[in-house]
Amino acid sequence: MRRTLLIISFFLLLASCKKEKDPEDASIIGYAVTDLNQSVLALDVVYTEESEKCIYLLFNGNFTAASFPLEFTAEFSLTEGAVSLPASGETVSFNNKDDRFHYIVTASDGNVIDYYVVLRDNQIPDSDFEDWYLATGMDGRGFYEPGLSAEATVWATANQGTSTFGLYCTTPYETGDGKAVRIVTGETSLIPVTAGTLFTGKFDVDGAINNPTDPKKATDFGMPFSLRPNGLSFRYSFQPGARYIRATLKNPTNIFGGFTVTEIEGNDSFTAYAVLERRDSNGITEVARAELISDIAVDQMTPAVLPFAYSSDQKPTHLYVVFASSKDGDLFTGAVGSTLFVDDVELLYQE
Amino acid sequence: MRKRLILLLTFVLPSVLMGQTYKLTLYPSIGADVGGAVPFPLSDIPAGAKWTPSVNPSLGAGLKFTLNDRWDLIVEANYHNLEFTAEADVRSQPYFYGDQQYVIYFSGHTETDVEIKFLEIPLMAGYSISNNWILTPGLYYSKIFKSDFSTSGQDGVTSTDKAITDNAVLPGPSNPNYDFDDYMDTWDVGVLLGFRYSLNHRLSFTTRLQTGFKSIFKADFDSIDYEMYQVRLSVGVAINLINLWQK
Repeated sequence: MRRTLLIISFFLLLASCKKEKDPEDASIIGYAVTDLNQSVLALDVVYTEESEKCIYLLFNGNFTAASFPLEFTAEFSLTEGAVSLPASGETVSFNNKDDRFHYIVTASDGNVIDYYVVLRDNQIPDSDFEDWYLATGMDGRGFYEPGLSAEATVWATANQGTSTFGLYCTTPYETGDGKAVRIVTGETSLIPVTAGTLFTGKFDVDGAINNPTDPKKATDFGMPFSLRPNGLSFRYSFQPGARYIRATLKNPTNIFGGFTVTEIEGNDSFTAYAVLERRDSNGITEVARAELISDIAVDQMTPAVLPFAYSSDQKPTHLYVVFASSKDGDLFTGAVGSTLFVDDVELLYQE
Repeated sequence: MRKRLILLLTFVLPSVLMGQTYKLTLYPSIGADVGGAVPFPLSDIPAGAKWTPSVNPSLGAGLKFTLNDRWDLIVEANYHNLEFTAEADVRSQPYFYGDQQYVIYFSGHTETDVEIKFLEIPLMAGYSISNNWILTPGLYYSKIFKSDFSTSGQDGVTSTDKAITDNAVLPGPSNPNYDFDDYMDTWDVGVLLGFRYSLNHRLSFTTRLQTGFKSIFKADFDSIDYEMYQVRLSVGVAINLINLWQK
């Protein structure tokens, strides 16, 4: 009897052991801007990216030096039991367009969450490619990525994915009067052709690791954007590589299983495209697209203007711009050595 | 394998058993397994490696041919689920590819999760040491239905240049995943040694230590520079249910 009681007590004790609770999430809800000290610029949309804990203030004009300091009063509510520092109703101030305003939100269980407020005007930040920050590759060594910092940049490359091989396909290039982006199709001991790329969004390292046979899954395209530009302009030069090839996985699910390489007639092409999308509870709707694909060698930096073709009247929520030195790089197709230079990306608006 | 067993039972056993007193007993059994896969050579086990097995139930049935007072011949069919995790800090662990022409090295922390579900058919001799204790050496064949083997590198450095991973300052930024499911073999053979303790004529307790003769990976898998062999400890209870035949 005593033994039975002991056993029952043991199981009751086990059953009473509570699972450790996950830290509580806390959110800023309904962020609203009032008393903006600007008459020239108008705030178009406040967009909260909850997964990034980031609030984007999307303005409909172009920031100039005269836009700063930019100040406003922020009103918002919080998840029940949470507190924020600063609190709702406090003045928020930005001294330049690259500032990030920091809220410290503390959930009712004490879990601290950092929220940031970010300014965006009618252009893509860092699109002159003068600023590059030092990132750390898989091999622990440094390489340069476009933008001011990993946290602030809107631009991404696939350099992180190829850093294991010491290969960086997208690099800064000194032009003599500043920097441009040099995007080159390369090769590694693992993959016979790997296109260089530059895009707005994030390179998803986990996506790359978990889906090595599907390069597109390593990209998370897009940045919050709400305007309807007429076109996209940039300057570029392009030189296709000598041997245009298609590499086919011997085992479609195994990147380490090797490739069969076949030569293709013609030249490799670069691609540049921009897509406006509306992302909401109904899914993703393409609103407009601008695109250029070319296999023509262009030696000197040359301006290009791509008009947006609108297919929807909806207001966009996101924009992504993609440059790739081989248009079918995601299909392991291209020419090693294809080189695309890009500079001065600009969104165009009707006067 | 099934054909071989039938042949054994049909032709070999009767000639061995001629003139003997024997009986054939059917017994169901339940038990529990704990085990892992051990790298060979053993020197490939990283210093400080940690192994965490799961204890999983097993279920099966057996036939025991009692040949004489000393010897039994035992054949079983048991379903097992071997599950374990292993952790280790590694330095320049190689991963080969392209017919071993190329290699990627990883330095950092690794976590390996393994789960193997299989039907095991052991063939054992039973030798009575005393009234209650029987020694059961034998061989086994396993048909593996499902194998999951994944390793995740954490907070490390990955490079094709060994000098970089040899000298890497850790923790690093690399968190690679390696999935070996496709390289796991679908069968295993090995040797076992066990004991059976008969509490009475119905109830027996069993314990066995098994180890594979072959790597858990397919023969053509050459991406890692060591083999891994299944090692498992099983304990169980068998109930002599039916005496099918007796002479």
